[in-house]
Amino acid sequence: MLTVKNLSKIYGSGDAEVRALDDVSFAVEKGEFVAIIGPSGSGKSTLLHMLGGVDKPTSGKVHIDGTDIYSLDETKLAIFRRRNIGLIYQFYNLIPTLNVEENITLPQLLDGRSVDRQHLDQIIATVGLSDRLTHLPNKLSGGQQQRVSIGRALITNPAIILADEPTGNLDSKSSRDVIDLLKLSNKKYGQTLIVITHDERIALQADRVIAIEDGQITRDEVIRP
Amino acid sequence: MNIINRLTLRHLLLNRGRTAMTIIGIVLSVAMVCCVAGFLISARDLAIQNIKDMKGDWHVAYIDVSQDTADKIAGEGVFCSFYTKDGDTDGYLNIYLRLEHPKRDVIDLGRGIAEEYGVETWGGNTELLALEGVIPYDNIMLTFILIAAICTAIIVAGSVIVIANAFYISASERVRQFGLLKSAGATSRQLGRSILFEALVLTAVAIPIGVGLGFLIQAGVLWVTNNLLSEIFALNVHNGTLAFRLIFSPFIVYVSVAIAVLTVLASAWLPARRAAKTSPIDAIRQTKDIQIRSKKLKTSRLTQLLFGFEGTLAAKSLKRSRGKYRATVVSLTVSIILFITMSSFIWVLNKGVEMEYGGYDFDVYVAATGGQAMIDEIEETLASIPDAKVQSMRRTLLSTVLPDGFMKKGSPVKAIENGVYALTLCSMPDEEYAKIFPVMQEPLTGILDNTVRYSSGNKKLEAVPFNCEAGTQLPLLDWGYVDGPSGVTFTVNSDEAARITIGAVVYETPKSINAALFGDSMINILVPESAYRAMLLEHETAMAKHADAAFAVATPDPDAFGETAQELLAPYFNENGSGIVMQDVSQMTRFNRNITLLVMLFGYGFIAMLSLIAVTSVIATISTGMALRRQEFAMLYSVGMTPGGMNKMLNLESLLYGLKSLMIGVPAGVALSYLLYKSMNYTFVFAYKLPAGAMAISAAAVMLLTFGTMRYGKRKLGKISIVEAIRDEAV
Repeated sequence: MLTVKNLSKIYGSGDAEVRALDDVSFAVEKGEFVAIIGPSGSGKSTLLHMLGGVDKPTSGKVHIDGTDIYSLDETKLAIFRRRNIGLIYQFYNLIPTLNVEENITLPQLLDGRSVDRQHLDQIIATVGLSDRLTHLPNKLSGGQQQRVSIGRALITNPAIILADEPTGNLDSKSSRDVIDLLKLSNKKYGQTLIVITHDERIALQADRVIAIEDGQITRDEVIRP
Repeated sequence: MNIINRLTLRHLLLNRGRTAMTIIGIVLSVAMVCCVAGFLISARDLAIQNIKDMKGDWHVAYIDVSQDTADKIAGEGVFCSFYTKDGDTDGYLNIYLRLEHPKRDVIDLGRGIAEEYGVETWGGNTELLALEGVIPYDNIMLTFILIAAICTAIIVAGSVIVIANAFYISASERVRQFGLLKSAGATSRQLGRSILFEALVLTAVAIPIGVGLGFLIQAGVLWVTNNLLSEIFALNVHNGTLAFRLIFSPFIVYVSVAIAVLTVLASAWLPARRAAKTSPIDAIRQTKDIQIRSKKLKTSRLTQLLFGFEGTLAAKSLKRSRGKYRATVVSLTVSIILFITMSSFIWVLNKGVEMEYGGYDFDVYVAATGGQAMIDEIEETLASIPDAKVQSMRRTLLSTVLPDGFMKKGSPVKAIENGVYALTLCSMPDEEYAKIFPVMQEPLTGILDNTVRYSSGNKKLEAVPFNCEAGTQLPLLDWGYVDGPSGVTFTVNSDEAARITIGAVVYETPKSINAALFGDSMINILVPESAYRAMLLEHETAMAKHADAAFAVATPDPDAFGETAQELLAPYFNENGSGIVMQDVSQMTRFNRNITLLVMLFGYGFIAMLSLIAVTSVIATISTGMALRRQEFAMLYSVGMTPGGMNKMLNLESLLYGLKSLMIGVPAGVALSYLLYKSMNYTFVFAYKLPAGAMAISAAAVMLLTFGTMRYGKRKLGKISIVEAIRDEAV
């Protein structure tokens, strides 16, 4: 489903050269829940951005469902992204002028598709925001905002969900809710889920843990087969 | 210097582009206010010079008083200087006096003295007193002052908006920095003071440059004006010289500085208050910027329908950043209004000048009466004179009877004698004629010039006198004067000499025709030259005696031309009833041209300054707006907006900016231009014309500006690295 081959990312050049990712290769099966852990600056965020197609690697390839995503031009990549990849960030990244419902349906609206009401209701119920549909993001708590961004990641039924420290900014109760939500979508819809986290407890709930240090995979173990 | 002020300076230096824009905005505004105020003062000075030249430098004068009385009057303590002239009666004097500190009751005072010494004839120099600000102006002066005041107010308002706008943006950009400072323990007072400090730094740099530039521009404008007006001045001056003088009045500097400082402080105050009130974390995340109620974010379904989801996003993001959106729209709107109004103003003034001075644009006017062959010879002779360009028109004065309903109600055209009207047939080169109406020969056709200029009382009027449709036929009648017992009487030979069909009606004299060459009648019909000649040959007896020709000659040296023409045309003078009239109109033409130039100079200069200010502020607003939205763009990219979609969104934003400004600016500009036209109507009466050209230009310019700036902002942003922008969020 997801294969990464000899992926490298180098920032700067000469003396200032930083190898954020150094020849990383691995593969993830469909429906797998993978946690990526590592200290700050280890390159884990860079890796996630490469997987999500928002940053270009220096060398190497990423295939999602058989598509070599970096062979696509910018427009095709954007379309591929909105249809197949759900991205979740630490800081939610919601559009401040759109309300909850519009933020969730944003990828579909960009695609010019009409929204399947039933599917939307289901997602809204799943993320528990039924009574907040017309609120603007600034009227929501951090946990609620993150649930909106999860809703946005789920709306298109993407094959793969990538989350960059989704609980990094949340209290423990909200963190639990968010992780439960992600796990639920992983089980219920069979979506591949890759989460970057600092949180041991979250990492331990994953099927597989990949540890990264200095841009290289130092550990890759399956906890739950 | 404390740390916060140091940070402020560093912020200004780091954002060099923005700082420069703000300073340019302030400089231009100060320069403009300075320039206008200075010009008003110079104009007042010129008026005082003029009055002193025409009437003399005095406040009160007593006419025909004895030497003894004059001495006594001069001895009154209120006067500071006087001079005398011989009176009308031998041995008596006229004494002209200035008061040291004239007050409003100066006329009463003068009367008191007159009564005291038994002086019958005395007077006050009311014009000078009014100009010196002692007594109120009379109505005409008041109108002029009102117009000047309105112009100044517009400029000041425009400048205020521009300065406020530029500064407001600079300050709101720093809100985030303030949050950081606040979280590090800066008090609200300190932050407020730092904004004031920024205001002071900017004005301290901008004001001296602005004042200098203002005086420089003023000096230039005055120099050009003096050169253009020297001839008029020369005509008006009795003794000495008359010219605009550049006056360095500290008052001008105070006013410009006060306006600039007040505006900057006022525009600094808003963001300062906001910074003081915002909690540190809100300031850091800049959530205040986007705190608006959802109701206000409703966008119309039409936007969605027309432009899709990108359109909705564009509309929403404009509504979100209301302050900036409004600032940009206001800047654009103000410039549109001023542009349309000013160009209309230029048109109105030029029209007035043209009506007042007859629209002469040539140097020598020649009219010749005589047979066709002779007129052809005269034309050839004139054309053979070196450096002369000759434009000719053959004309025949006839009379006609107008059909019912041909004359409009209230038409100024009067019959010469019961139902008979004078009519002039004017020749026009065939090829020019064919551009307007294609039929050249048989039956005789003509183009009716359906505009007349005339004066009535003090008014100069331009009107459309006839209801005429193409196809209307008019009889051409011969006429003559008969010496009778009761003097000369007008007779009409009621036999129709010919008949003309109106092929087309024009409401503006064709460009190839010089309206100054038309004859005296108010009905002017243009006919092709070939047909004109043929007709004259055919109806020789009836028409040829009233035929003549007029020539407009353009030449660099009218005197030399006149001499040569006199010589060459000598054989034709007064030969069997023919006559040649030659008139040097070059002075009028030059005067006319200079006035027109002057109007253009001021009008377009004004427009250029304001547009420059508006453009600066709009570029500043939009491009910083773009920079501030880096994260938003990154966000949209990351959820899969394509580069095409992004461009579409930005284009729509530009379109909305432009449309909104045009929607307010164009009607308001047209309304103002109509008011200006109306105020001109007291003296010059003519039909209003929509300033369509200015409307089109402003629409095109606004769109070019908004699209261009967006494009530029986007290019400057470059390819947004989604990753970096999103990381920025984590301060």
